[in-house]
Amino acid sequence: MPSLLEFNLILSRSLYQRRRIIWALTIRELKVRYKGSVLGFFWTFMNPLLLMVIYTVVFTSIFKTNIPHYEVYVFSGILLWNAISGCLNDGAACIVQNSALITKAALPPEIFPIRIVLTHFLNYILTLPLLFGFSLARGLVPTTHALQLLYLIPITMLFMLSVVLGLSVLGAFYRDIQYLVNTLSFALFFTIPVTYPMSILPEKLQAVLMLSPLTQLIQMSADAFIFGKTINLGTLTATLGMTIVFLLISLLIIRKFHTRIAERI
Amino acid sequence: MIFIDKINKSFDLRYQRDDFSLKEAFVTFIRRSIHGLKYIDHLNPPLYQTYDTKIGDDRTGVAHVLKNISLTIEKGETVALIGRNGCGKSTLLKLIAGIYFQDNGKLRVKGRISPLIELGAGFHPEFSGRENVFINGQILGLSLTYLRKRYDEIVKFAGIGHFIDLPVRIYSSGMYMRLAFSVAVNVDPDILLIDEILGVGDADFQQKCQIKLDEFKHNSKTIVLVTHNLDVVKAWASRAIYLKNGEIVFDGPPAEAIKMYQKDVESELQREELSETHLPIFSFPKLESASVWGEITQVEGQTTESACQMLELKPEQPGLRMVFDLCYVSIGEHLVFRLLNTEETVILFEQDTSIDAPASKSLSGAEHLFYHLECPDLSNLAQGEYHVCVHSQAPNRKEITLIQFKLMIHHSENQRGLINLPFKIEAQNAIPA
Repeated sequence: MPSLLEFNLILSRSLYQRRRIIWALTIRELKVRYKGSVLGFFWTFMNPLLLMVIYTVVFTSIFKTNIPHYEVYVFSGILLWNAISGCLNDGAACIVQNSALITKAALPPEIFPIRIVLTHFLNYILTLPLLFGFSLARGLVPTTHALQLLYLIPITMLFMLSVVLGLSVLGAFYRDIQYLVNTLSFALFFTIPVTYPMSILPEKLQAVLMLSPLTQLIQMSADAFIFGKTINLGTLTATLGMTIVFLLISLLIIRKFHTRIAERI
Repeated sequence: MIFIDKINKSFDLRYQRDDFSLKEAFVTFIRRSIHGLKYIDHLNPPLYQTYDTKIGDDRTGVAHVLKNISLTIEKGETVALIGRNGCGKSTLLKLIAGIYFQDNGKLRVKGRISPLIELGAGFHPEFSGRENVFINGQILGLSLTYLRKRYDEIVKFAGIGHFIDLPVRIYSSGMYMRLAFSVAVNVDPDILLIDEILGVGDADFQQKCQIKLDEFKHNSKTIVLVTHNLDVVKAWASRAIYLKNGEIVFDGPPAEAIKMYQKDVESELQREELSETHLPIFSFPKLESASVWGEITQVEGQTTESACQMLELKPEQPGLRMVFDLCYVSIGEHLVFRLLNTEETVILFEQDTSIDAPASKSLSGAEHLFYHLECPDLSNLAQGEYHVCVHSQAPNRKEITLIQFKLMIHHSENQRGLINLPFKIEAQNAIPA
């Protein structure tokens, strides 16, 4: 087996050579989503919109939360969460689903997790103007701190990529990973501050939940967009650290399985 | 240039089973750990052998698809790979394409490769022909600017007219393939790998393809071709490689390779015909040996020869002994021995045995564990012909015939019926009182 560095170089080069294909496939994927439906793009936020309405009604009228701009908070959280959970769910299945392109057109399997992350986050970025408009309409004017999203989104993408790379390969080898991820991501949803703000939790629980990079990422983007805060440098460093750890694990998984992926799909 | 040195390729079929899952992987992991702990203080611990309850399942085990393949293909050669289905041609092509990876041995490829293994692999049914041309072209490694420049030509070559703006899901399969091929021929690689994609479309289109491929040849591109169309091989290839069961049996002029291949196919067909006209005996699984006591007819396994379909028993000590290779029978299954009349309407005798591994021998690594089946005394059968069969019976009562044959028993001339009873007839002078 080649050393991890060597393998990484080979892999990166082969993926870089195919950057145009990755991009073309990403664009196609986005087009597929909006093809053949009258409302097209609007379906992307029909689901978050509906969820936002439900959560707002439940939390403000039943639980009597009085967080300012709760509906904007939930909406922005769900949009980001949909991108993240979309990456996880599609990521686990993407290599199997594209078996024809791998075994017949000789594309390297690793381009598909990349495409999945790109697709979901491009989709997310396309919905941002709407979120912005919604927020203005509800009387929340984002401050200049919202500009921090410019680097928070790439970091989120990087983290998702580092997870999905390994996940997609495992998903190709063990098909039940797909179902496992589907269930787990549903459970994960409740551990991240989307339907509730972190501040309503006891401090100890907050500290535990903040260990999760997903919590950190969602929290940071809420800080930037909703609360108008400067990003906590410690949290940011922790997230980047986790990204590197996951990336290493993913690379180890890929290195181990790479040569046999095409046989198993 | 393609340089291949002593390549082996096998596939682990265990993972191809539908029920292979995390659970199974986990169980194997635990078993292996226990095995490791058990021999933790041994200097030379025995290798862990996967104990698979589905040993009789033909989906288990390892398939050696390519065995010790060495060959060099020079620039500008047009090489055809021929051989029967499953001989490893496509696997070899996929190894060259970098889709599969060899178990061991060296493989070096110099030059840019375009694998044309399946046309239209990147086509999306919902998109129009136009959109698919661009995306498929990019998957094949063509640049967007190049595709834009050649677009009109591609559409003209495919000859599908105004359909180009409709989604490809409504295309006829011929149109689909023609469009896919039109994109594919635009590739400009050093090495072209083609797997069974020729022979698409009508005669007119075929001719177009021929011209394109001649063009490739004239530009001294290396072409590796997998095809069953021997005319194509004869017309285009400068060299043919005949693969048989994962080994190269011939490498040289196409005409000779084809001759050899055809000869093999014919003899194979003859053998099949032979076994079809007679009883299908010992075809699968193999009977290692069936011996008949008395006049011993030793039947060597691995044959489908007609010699074994009728066993004749001599009157001195008629008996039957069969030896099975257990790797075709699974643990937990039943082995059913059945003796019927020749019309197969009456079961004269049936014995049902569950199969257990002998305690003394572990199954690990034992590819051949023989199972002996004896019916030492058949002298109770009357003279005539009988039908013997052995089935394996799965827990769900599904039966697979392992072996069947006719049995001939000779006694005295005047017997009829099915069983042989002690019988005496004597003439006496005195009239009973």
